[in-house]
Amino acid sequence: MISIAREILLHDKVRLGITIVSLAFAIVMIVYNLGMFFGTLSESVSLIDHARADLWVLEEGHRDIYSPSLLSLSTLRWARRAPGVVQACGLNLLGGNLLIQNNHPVMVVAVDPDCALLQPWGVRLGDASDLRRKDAIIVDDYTLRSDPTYLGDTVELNGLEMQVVAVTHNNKSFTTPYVYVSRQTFASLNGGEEHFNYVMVQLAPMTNPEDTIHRLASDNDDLAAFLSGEFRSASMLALVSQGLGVIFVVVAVGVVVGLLIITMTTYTATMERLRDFAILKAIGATRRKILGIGVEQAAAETLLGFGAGLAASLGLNYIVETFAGLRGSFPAVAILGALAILLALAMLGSLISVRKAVSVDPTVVFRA
Amino acid sequence: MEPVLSLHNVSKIYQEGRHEVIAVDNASLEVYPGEVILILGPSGSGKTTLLSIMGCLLSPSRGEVRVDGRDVSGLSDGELSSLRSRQIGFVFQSFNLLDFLSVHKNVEVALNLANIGGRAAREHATRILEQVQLGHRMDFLPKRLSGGEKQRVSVARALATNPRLLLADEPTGNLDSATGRIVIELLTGLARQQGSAVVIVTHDPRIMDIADRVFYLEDGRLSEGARMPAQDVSSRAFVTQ
Repeated sequence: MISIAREILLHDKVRLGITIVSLAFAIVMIVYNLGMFFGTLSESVSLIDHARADLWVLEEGHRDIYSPSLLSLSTLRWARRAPGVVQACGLNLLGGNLLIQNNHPVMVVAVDPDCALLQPWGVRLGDASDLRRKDAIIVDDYTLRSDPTYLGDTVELNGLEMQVVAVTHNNKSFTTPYVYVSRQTFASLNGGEEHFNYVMVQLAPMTNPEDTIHRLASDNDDLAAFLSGEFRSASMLALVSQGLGVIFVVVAVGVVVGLLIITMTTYTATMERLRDFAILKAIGATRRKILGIGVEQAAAETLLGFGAGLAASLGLNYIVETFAGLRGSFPAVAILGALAILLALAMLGSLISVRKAVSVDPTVVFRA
Repeated sequence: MEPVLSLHNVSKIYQEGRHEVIAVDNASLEVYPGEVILILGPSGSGKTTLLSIMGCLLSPSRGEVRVDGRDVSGLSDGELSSLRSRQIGFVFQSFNLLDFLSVHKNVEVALNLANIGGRAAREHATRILEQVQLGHRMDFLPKRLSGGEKQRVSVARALATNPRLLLADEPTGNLDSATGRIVIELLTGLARQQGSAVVIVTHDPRIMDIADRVFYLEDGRLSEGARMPAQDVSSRAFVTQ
């Protein structure tokens, strides 16, 4: 059987090309922004994802990585003594206005070099265990993109001169790279105060984490512990509520623009072909057949536009990642979901114009 | 012999504001297999409305229409579409070819609509296009054809499904007289060969000689006229009974 929709689309290749480009533009708005959204979310919790902690201990009332606690040494000691705990380590995160080389904002991660629960990942140069050395620092290659850093270089952080002992790749929270220092070095940066923002806990296999959480709550009124997954979700939610939701607005605008393009394109194409639909009706096409042609046309345009838009989004992501270090994330489920939603919306949008074709008076074929 | 098409006291009335316009007034007609009927009438006489009713594209306000003995008044949209795709072929003044399809596909699509697909449709389309001497134009788009060639494609499309009834609306209207003559002879010749009944609506009396019976339509009223002998076609005379 001849696919009339395909024949119509392929007949006017210029129009098809313009439609695909327009749709691809709208799809890029949707897919690329979604990719940035997921990429940001994913990088915002990269520390949690790379930590081998089962539980995170925070002050009561705190529940995400963006609201650091002020935990004392006794909290760490309690955690280490708790039944079923294999290992517990303190962690500090210091961001704000910290600049490295007086120019580049960074977030300082203070870890215990002997703690196996969290270590820098993606080490490109050097050895992370050298962090034990006095005034040692591990920097990310994103930190000084325009001013390459090499092993053994001296960098200045908050007035302190430190020596680079390792360089990592992609250790960052979206646009702010992490630099790692030991807890001793961190004390120098922080005026010598001994406290932690978080305590990470690793449990022995077969230990029920809920038991540890309850025990913590009963022993310490002012502390709360969260499963790693809960802590991750709460941190993502905090980020969304702090403004990442704006991306949702951009995505929504992209969806509306895409839908308008599909609707307008299908509408114009249908109106131009109204007489052809009348001819088809006159020679025996049912209303259902006409509807099928319109829907197939819209679906084909959407699929082609989506393919082009997805390719453009991935290309754009590659360029932005290469030159600006911002990496999007494109989970297959999200892409398929976006495609399904767009197809459904395209079908709905095309119905406006297809209704015209379905209800066209076939007797117009007798008019010259 | 049962008529392929019968109209019994068919009227079509349009409401224009507070006035009624009677486009077809109490028309009755029976068309038999293999017969060629010519309906002559000036512009605005109701020819198109009558043809639309015959082609099941328009419902009459009154009266009964039967195609192949079947009353079409109660048929659904799907049933009417099926009837048109299998039993009725159309030839139009302005050809009405689908400009985005090749000549071959224009014919094939009519077969597809009658649920004939694949190789059978392709081969049959090729055969019928060869019968109308367009075997060498099958991959052309309609815009590359002359008027006569377009109308021959239209004839091939109309006859491809071997319909019981072929309706032609001013088939020579956009053609010069020589080409028009060739097309009309091709159309009636093939239809007779297939045993299809043909109804041609026109205001061109030059083709009267090809008709078995001639009707005249004036102000929506249909009346049977006398058949002119072939040799008298040039006189363009028309006599109502």
